[in-house]
Amino acid sequence: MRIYPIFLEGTGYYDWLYGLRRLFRQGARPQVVVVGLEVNSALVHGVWEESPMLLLDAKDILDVASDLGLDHTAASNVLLSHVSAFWGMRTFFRRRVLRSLVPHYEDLFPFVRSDQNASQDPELEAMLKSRLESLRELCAKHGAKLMVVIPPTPSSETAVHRMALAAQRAGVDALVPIDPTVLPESFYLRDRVHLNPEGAVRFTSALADDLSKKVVTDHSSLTQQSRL
Amino acid sequence: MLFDSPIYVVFLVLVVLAYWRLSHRTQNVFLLLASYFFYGWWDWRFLALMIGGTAADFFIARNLVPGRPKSNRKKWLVLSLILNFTILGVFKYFNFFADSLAAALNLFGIHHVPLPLIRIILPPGISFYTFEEVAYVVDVYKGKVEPSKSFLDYSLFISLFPHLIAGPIQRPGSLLPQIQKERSLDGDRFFDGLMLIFSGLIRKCVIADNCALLANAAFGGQLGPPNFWVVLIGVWAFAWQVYGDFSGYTDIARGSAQLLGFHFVINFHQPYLSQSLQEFWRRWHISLSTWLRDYVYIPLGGSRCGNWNTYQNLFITMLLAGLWHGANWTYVVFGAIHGVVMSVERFLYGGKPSDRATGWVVWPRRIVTFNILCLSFAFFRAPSLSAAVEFLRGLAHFAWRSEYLSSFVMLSLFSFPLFCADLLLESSNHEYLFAESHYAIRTAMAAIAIIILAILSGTNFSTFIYFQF
Repeated sequence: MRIYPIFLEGTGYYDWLYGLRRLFRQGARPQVVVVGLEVNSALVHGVWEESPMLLLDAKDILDVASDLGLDHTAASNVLLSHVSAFWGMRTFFRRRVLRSLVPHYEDLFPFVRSDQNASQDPELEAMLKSRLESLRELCAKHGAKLMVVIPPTPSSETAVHRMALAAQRAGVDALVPIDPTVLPESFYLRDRVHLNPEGAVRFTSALADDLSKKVVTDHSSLTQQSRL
Repeated sequence: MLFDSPIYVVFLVLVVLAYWRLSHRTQNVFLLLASYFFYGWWDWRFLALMIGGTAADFFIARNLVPGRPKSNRKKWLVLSLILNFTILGVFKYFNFFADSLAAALNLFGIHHVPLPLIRIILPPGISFYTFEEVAYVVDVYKGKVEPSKSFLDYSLFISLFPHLIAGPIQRPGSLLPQIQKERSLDGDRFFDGLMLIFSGLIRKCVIADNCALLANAAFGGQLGPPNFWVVLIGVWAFAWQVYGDFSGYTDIARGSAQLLGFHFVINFHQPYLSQSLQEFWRRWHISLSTWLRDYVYIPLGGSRCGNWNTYQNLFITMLLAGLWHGANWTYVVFGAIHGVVMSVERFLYGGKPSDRATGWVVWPRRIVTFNILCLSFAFFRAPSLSAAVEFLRGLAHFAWRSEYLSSFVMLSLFSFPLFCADLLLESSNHEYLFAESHYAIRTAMAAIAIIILAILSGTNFSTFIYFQF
């Protein structure tokens, strides 16, 4: 079994919808696709600022604009971010410069904030189910099985379980390597979103166990099926 | 189309390139079409409203010329005013007044009154072009300007794209003659226009957008519950954000107009160096404050009918100025605070037009004025009256956190350069920094501006604050 990891921080549902479409269009034919989606990222209505350059094709821009209801100006900015790596990464550069100019800048504006808590939404399950179904159908259309990894977030303890339930209803295997209700706050960074080194060790070893059980098992059964 | 978006740069370059190859009449037709395209870029449906209003005022103004019977002229004027303010009222204030009426009835125990609420999107720039239309009909009625003979010229006066969305509010006596006359390409003015655009982009994308991060964090609760320090960070950051944002917009608007051979009035004159709120309004959004002076304050009686009437007229004018900014009680309170403070200032200074002190007292007065202004900005920025009051209540608590120091460092990093620029502009009386320097120096400054824009402007496009008005 070969593994192709793609690590992109800050990505959400739309990034992976269009990113996977592009990968499939370019000929990728994985047997299993594992997408890591934190609850708030799965609900976010937008694309990550570097996605147009890294994950989107030019032909996707119109679809993105239509899906996200972007106006002409915002759509043209997405197009320019696709064409120009510099344009797409300006916020990243600015953050770097400010980090060197302003003491404790990261404490002031953490990359992701714990108060971005879209998971209070009562329509959460319905929206997640429909989004996960779209991803599952996309993968199935290209012969791949979708799994979703749901990392813990203290701001949305119950939301992780609600997302796992929505995944089950959407016919998607959900991996919850660590139950957020049993993970103390001491395992998080000050932004109360990212895990600190100790939390990361816990999460990674639990994820490794889950992946080896789930993906390897599924991979061998899929391989056997294809041989038959 | 936002002035700080790449698509506007493409649009402006194409328009300027084509524009200077055309004859005068064709230039006007081309500019009108370009302006309608610019406006329709948001939503084509808004165009019908603007063109309809333009046509109505154009034809009404023909009946307002001084030679006609006075009673008829007055009827036409009233018709035009009703038409303009009804359109503005419906699109901008209908739900606000309906909600307020429902809340008032609730206070008297009358519940569940079926008041109509309508879903309306606020057409961009409606407050600005309505005020220009009103200025036109009133000035024609008073005989200050001739009614335009050409519908094309008048339409261009209303819709010329650099001022269409957020001003500066143009007066017919200033812009119409520029439209009617042939314009020539002046290299110096063209270069000044480019420099103004760079100045505007720095003000908006670097200063305003970065101060906005702090203001949003303070008002949004990300810096913790409001206390003295959070309130200071919030209101100071917002003060520099709104100044950078609107003066930046104005610089880009004026610069764009200059590339096309037009001259727009100056809209900002180092407002934070004011020594009183009266002086502040002579330096801030000058095109709005002079409009309010000429079409509201003076017709109400101005300062001609004794002190109390003057205070009353000031208060009403500032209340309307507040309401002009938005359909929310927060803006009304913002205007009321300014009305009260300006009346007090007038009482203290005895109504003398020169309320500027000299000597050691200058800076204490500037600091006090700036901070009164900042406190009033809490109402301007907060989403509701209760949120503003809750935020300002924090002033009584002084708990310090280490993040506040970082916030003050960041605020200084972005506000101090603008403050220094204002001091230099105040002493030199130039439109932008280094305006009288050699071309090579100004070109070098433009290059530095591009580098700063590249490094310190982010992709978090926030629309210009004044676009919503």
